[in-house]
Amino acid sequence: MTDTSTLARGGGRHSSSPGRGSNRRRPARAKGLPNWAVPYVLLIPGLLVIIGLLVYPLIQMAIMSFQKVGVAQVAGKKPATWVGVDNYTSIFESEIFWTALRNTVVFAAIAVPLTLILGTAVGVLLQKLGRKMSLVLIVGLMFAWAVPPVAQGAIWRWLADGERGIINWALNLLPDWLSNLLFGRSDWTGEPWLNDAWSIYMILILCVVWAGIPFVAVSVLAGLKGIPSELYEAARVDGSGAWRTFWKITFPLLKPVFAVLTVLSIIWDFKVFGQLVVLGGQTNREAFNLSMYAVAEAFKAPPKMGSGAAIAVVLTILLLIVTAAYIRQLFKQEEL
Amino acid sequence: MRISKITATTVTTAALALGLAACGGSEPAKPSEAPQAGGSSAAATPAGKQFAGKELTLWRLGDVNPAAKKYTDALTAAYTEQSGATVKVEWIPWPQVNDKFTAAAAGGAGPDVTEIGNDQVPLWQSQEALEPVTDIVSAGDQAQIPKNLMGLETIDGETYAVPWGGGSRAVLYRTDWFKELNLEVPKTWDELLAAAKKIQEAKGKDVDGFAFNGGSDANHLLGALAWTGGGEYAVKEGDNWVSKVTEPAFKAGFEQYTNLVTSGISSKSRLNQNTTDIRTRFANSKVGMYLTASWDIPGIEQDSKGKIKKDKLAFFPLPAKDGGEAASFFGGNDIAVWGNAKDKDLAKDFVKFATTKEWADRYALEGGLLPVYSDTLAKLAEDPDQAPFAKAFAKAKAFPADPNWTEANETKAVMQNAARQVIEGKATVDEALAAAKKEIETILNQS
Amino acid sequence: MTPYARRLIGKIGMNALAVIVLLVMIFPVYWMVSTAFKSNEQIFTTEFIPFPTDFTFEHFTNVLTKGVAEHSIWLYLGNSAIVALVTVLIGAVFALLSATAIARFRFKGRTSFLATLLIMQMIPAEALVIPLFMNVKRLGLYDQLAGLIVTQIALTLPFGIWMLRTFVAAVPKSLEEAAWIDGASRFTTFWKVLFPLVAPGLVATSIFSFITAWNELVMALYLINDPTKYTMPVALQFFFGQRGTDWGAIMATSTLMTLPVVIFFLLVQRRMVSGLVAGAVKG
Repeated sequence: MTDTSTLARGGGRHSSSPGRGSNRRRPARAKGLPNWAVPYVLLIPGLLVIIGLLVYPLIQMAIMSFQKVGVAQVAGKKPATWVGVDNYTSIFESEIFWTALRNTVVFAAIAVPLTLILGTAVGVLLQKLGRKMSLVLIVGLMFAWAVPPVAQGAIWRWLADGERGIINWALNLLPDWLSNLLFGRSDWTGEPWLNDAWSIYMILILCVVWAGIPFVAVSVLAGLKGIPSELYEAARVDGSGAWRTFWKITFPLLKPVFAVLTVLSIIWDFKVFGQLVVLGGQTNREAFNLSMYAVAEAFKAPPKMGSGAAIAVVLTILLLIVTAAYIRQLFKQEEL
Repeated sequence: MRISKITATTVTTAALALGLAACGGSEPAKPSEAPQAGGSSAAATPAGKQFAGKELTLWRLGDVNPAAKKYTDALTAAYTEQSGATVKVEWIPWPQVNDKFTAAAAGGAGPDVTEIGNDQVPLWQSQEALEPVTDIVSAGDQAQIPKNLMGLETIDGETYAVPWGGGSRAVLYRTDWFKELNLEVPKTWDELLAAAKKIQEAKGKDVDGFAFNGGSDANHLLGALAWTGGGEYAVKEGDNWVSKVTEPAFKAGFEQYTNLVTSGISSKSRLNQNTTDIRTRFANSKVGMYLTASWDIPGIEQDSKGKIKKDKLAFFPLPAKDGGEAASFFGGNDIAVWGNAKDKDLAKDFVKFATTKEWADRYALEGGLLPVYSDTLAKLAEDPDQAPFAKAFAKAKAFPADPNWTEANETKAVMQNAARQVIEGKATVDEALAAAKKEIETILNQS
Repeated sequence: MTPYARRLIGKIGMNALAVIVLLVMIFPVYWMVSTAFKSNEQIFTTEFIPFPTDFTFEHFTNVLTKGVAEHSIWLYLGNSAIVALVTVLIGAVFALLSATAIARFRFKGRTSFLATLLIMQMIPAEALVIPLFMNVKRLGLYDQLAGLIVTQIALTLPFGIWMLRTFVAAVPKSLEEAAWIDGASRFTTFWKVLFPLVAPGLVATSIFSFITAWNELVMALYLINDPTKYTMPVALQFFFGQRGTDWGAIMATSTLMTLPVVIFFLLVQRRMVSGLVAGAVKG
């Protein structure tokens, strides 16, 4: 770690690659700055941004969560006052906090696996398809991928509209006996999907999974392309079925891919915001998740930045705990 | 104490409405009434334009409709003509007004002059976001504006906003539908429900007979129903607010309110809709009746592309359960100088200009509000079209006058959630109201 | 069944499945576009109208002229473009410098830096917006696009560095050493040798940053107050407050907002797939 030599990082993969005669190889030096200083100079802009705009604000956030910060304090008319753990006790006493926490966790627990499973299935499908069909499907996925979160929310709110939404129209198409058998009703006209927290989140899951599939599928496809086809040949000769092949060959080799995809999905789904703002509306507090609750406390009248910060701290800690295993693993196995 | 001051003035608020409707022009018009384009400040600067080259940002609230735009364009053009300053107008939709004010107060980047709801003045004054305009209302044309109209605006002897137009709400309905279905104007709440049912039967299941409002301004409808029977959201007892939503009078109004949905007169699929959403649906012939005021009419004409014009629309006062008029929210729009205004003299000068008799009357009459100058109001009250509002104005009431009310009303949407719980069958009326009472008290009594 | 027949059936089944997946994935997007072209009569009906039979540009002209609160959508598209492009340009330079430092050198503090990067990717913008609001205000950048850009750079940089470092590491060190031996300066080596080879990775990283900045809602919502400085996501979100049920206008705005991203995606489709995946996967 303290080694400041300019030798390429110990990439076992390409350390022996140079075809140049090893006798000619010597520690190469360029002109200009001394070697030890170069990385630090290169890092200056990045470090400034990361420390100034991420690390320092994070510390501020933690400090603010123990203060009362209203309009007067933000505007600089009064100094922030220390209130101890008051912000925390008041949010823990609030019913909204526990609903928001439940919404956040349950939503992620359902949406993340669904996105990964369906996305992987589409990725595997992409690999098995012929060239043309595969390209067509990828282009189709790109369309869904390209829709910005707020627009995704708008689209799904429209699809789930009580009277003019396609979802109710499609449910009405089901034969009455089937609909009665499945749901105990046959008339779906005017069914409100966006009133109740659970149905809002159901639509949100559909929306987020739909929008998340393309990224997972394309990543899995790229991973699959990296697996030598001989392995599959061998599996076929052994008479291994598709399911077995997936678990014996594909999954173990793609494990790092899945690890990254899982963590990214967790991060994205834990703090889902744009879609929820549009689907749930800003006044339906039963449908708040922690992100929405934090900004609502901090920025809505009258602003309580202190308790907003306290909620943000809880959300951040939660995310770090959930992803801690992954971070540790990365540090262990990867030569960083 | 400031808070108790506000409470005291609320009592006047209710009284003032009565006084206003009753006084009908009894106040003699002052000689300064002569319509001179510049108002008083023009006289102050006879030579050269005082604010030439300067710019002012004005926030107008609500969405842009042709009438409001026409008025604003005329007002700003006239002001530029007179003072030399240009006026940049931004339109802020009602549901976002408090968000934008919050950001402006905290961030320091906001308007110079803003339109503001009279019930919002205590909150933003308490956040030190408004500049006193006492000198404006005590001289010139503005001295004619009745002082009792400034109950919410006057705090500790200083006035923080100038009344621009008053408003109460009544039920808007389609005269052509009523004629077609042989419906009479409802005189009691039950007649209203019966009419709503008939409209639904004739016009289809997806039409709301009488639209339920559960959005950002839901308490305008709920309040009207609850106040009528004598209910109150909260009353100040000593230093503390005590919520009265669990009392029978309020409960009766609350049940009337939720029954609109549970009886199917308004669809369950739109529990979050606010007046703007309802108006759009009304313009597309999907709503029979709803509670609003004449400021919605230009928007309806626009949204329906001229298919639903003024001649097909009329108002009647919201009927009480056993006949007679229901109470109404005492609304009014003011204009105020924002505390962070770049040039306070310019901002004050603009407010003074906009609230001269000429421009305040035009603001009210062209925008569908009640004028704040009493003689103009008296003239208006003779117009049968406006009678429902004058009647409703007589029974106007206001929300608890506390800076924290906005949190209960919009940010936490306490009553909207209570109604949702009941409608979704998750809580009984008593349970929901008991929870709401507790929450309203917590919010209003926080420091 | 002969193996051939089985393979044929399998192939047909596979393609049929692909068509179904394609339809499901594309339908919501199609519905957005088709609603944007329908007349209000066709939107305000409970019937299913698969295709706008009375095709109209009304909603597009509407949002492009009157738009949100009297400002054309062009204004907001322009704001979004400025924010996203400046973020990408500055972010790419910063990320490349940092990535080179990490991938090419071992130095004191390197591991801590990497750990910070990783942890910072976990911090939600919805949490950071509260302290950033205070800082941006203190810097006098509140309610200015510059303030928003600064936060967007911060949000995209950790992932950008993380992604780019694999690309830098993949360039054989020997190439640079050869250049040094030939007497090239550090800068020349960087510019002539490293940069061209890392360019595909830079494109991938830039696209990622562009989309993040283009889509970002929460910072734009709370760091900007002047309606003329809104970005597209904020403008669309405000549309709901203003004209809650004007679905034609909302869908037209959504379409206009999605269009640039789609074009971008299709232009660099192949490169992005390989780039994004290489970066994300090897991380």
